[in-house]
Amino acid sequence: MSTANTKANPSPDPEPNSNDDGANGGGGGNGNSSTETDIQDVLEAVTVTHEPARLSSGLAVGCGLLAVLTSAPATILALLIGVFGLAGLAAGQFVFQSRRAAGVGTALIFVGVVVGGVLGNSEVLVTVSTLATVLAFDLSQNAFSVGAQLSSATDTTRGEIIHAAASFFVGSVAIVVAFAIYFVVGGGQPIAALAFVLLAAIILSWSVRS
Amino acid sequence: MDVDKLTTRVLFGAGGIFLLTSVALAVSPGLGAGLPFGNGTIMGIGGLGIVLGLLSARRRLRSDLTETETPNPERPARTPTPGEDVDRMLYEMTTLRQGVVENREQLEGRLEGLAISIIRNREDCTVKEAREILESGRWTDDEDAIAFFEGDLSAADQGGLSQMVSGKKEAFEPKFRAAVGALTEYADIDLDELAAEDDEGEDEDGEGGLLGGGSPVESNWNVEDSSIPSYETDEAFEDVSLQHTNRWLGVTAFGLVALGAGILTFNPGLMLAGTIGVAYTVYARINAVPGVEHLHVERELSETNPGPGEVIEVTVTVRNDGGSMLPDLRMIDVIPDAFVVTDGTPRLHTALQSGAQASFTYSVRVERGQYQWPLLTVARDFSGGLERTSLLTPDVELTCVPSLTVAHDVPVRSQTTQYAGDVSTESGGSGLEFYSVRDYRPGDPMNRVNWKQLARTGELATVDFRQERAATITILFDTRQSAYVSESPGKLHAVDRSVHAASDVFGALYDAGHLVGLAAFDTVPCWFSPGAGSEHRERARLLFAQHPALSPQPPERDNIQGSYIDPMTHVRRRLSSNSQIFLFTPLVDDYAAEVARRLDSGGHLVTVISPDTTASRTIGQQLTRIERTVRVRYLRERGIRVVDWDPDERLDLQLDRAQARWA
Repeated sequence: MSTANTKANPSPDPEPNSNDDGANGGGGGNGNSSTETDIQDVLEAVTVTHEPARLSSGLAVGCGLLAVLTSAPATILALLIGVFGLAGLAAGQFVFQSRRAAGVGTALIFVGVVVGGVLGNSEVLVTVSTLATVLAFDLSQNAFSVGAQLSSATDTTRGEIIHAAASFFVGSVAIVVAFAIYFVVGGGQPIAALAFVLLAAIILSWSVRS
Repeated sequence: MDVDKLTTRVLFGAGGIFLLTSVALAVSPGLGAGLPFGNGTIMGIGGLGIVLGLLSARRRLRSDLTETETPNPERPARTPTPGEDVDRMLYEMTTLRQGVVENREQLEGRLEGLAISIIRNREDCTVKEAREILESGRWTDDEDAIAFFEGDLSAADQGGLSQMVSGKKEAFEPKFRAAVGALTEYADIDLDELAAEDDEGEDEDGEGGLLGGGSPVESNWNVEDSSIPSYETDEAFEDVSLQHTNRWLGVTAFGLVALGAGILTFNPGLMLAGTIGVAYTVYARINAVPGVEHLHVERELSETNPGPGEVIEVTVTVRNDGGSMLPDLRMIDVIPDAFVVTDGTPRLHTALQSGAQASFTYSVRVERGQYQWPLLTVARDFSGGLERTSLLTPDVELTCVPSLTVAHDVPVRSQTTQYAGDVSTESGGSGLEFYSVRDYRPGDPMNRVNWKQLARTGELATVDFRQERAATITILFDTRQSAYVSESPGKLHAVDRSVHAASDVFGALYDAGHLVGLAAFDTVPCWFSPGAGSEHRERARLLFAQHPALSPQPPERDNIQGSYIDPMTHVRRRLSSNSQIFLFTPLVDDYAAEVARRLDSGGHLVTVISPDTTASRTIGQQLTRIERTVRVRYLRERGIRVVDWDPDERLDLQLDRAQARWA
């Protein structure tokens, strides 16, 4: 990046006239100090590590834990699957630092959530644990992305918190809307309506993919 | 508008209609009676949902994210250690089994040349005699080493193919090592150090030797280690890429699986949960391009004209002047490769409201040159689904110029000009120090007539004083790509060391009244004629800092074999015949030594200042160190002064020591 441009632009440093007595005391003193910086050549560069961002990782594991706990009340099977998933997620974030391990862990947690729902968990708990699972997924992925693009030494708190808050807000709104519809209908369970929701979801996911 | 986009729109619209229908159905269930749906269809849709959800999750696991890879500008640049080529050749031969014949020939030739020059040096004999001694094996007790050089001779007879078939190559590396070891001993080179580090070297040689593994310092080249093709930009703002990160890929699975399972089991809780997955799918799709172009960046340097090696503090402040919020802003100050961050982090991760600002501070060790560097900005929208990468370049320039202040005296040799100066010559004339008395010649000045002798004997005689003259000195740098080497990754490379030392030498010579010029042999010609005066000095300072041939970054192109031009041509053409030479070179190949020898035989007095950048951790590095030591001896034998500069010590002390030896 150094430019070949040798435009005669004498730097503001007022040195050039000191050549007459440069060999005397003053010049010598300066020179010594500059030599010392020259020989001090071991580059004490800061170390750079790219571990997954700690805050997001911690939040992700916390969300995972919440998901596992809220999926547990109905059946011990959900708890078992969930704990495995949680272990995978935590190991992925903190031990192996592997996106894949964390992703598979989150997926397992979600399997536990669905099993819990099928086996009779309450509506509210199933919804909460699903939200917690999706948040765990999002925060875990964000932790890796922040860790890779920035570094462990960077202060990433503000960026991470804003991201987590935005994700949480979206999920909360979705829950509120869903429950509003649910209670307006008042347990009438129009299966056709839900079928349409599913159709809409599939088509929307296609549109996102293409 | 292309087809893809249209399809997306249509699908999105259809999905919206379905969603609205379902809401309508939920509000007044009576509407549903007219629809031709049975329970079977609905169950089918549920199953389909689960299958699609699983497919989506599988897709996620199989795909990679497309995120911008950022560089690590904190780290020092990576320069190779001399001898890496040898290690690579050995690795290719023994592990990869590639190019066995070529590499073997090359290594054998190289080692044989070295052995012959060592024997010639020690026994003071001709090449032919040296070859005889080498073949006879009289020079060492090591049988493997003798076998190595014998094997070479038979290889010439047998041809390479039979070697490959017979599997003899397995024995090559141990023999090679033995030969290098024996030569080290024979040539009496730094034995202790080599022996001490030898074991260590063997340990890591297996896996780490070539791959540079186990290197204590991690290094970085900004362009190579990131996904940004180039950081050179003339504009204050430049977009690099705008891409979908795919980070939400697979989130649909949460919705589809939950909904499917809910429908199959008539479970309202799971159906409600499914809406969350759908909501995030939509969230991920609503992207807004972050308005990075409205960012205002200021970079403050604690000093805009530091000297090389100084540490300055840099503060970067960003302000969002746009009307919209930037929810996810990641910034990296891409400082030039030659710089090293010593404290703090040149990175920022934040969210900026409209009008808000943020800043970060770090300390950086600067290197000579004129620099303006960009700030890499990776901005995302709220969901992180869209990523915009751009380069923001604040209008701040850093010029790092050596001060050329005098640190010490530099011994100058006796080749001089007609100008009065500092160097005592071997000729009589006017001056201060008594030199000789000679017969009077008409025209001799009256004040130099030896009046005492005239009074005593009546004969006229003239006193000559020793003449003091100035020298013309050309400081010549070896800045070919091969000179960009350091003894271990993260240390200063030979060119940096040379230029740092030379800026001191230049100041010292200039202050002593000599005419000093600069030149470098490289693919980029560099020539600055010897001269004097403060303007000359000022221009030299800028040259040290800005000339591309002296850049801290290695030249990109290698010597092109096809159209080879001797890099010394332009220097030799311009060099005045009475100029002395200070040659700065790491002496890691024969060419540099040959340059010194040819200049010497061309009538120039040459002083070689050679920073020792060889190491001895691997066999290749050991070989290079022996070769370099032999080169130093070769030059000294020819009366060329060589300062074998151990970079851990100060050059001025070593020069003093050398001067005492030469005097």
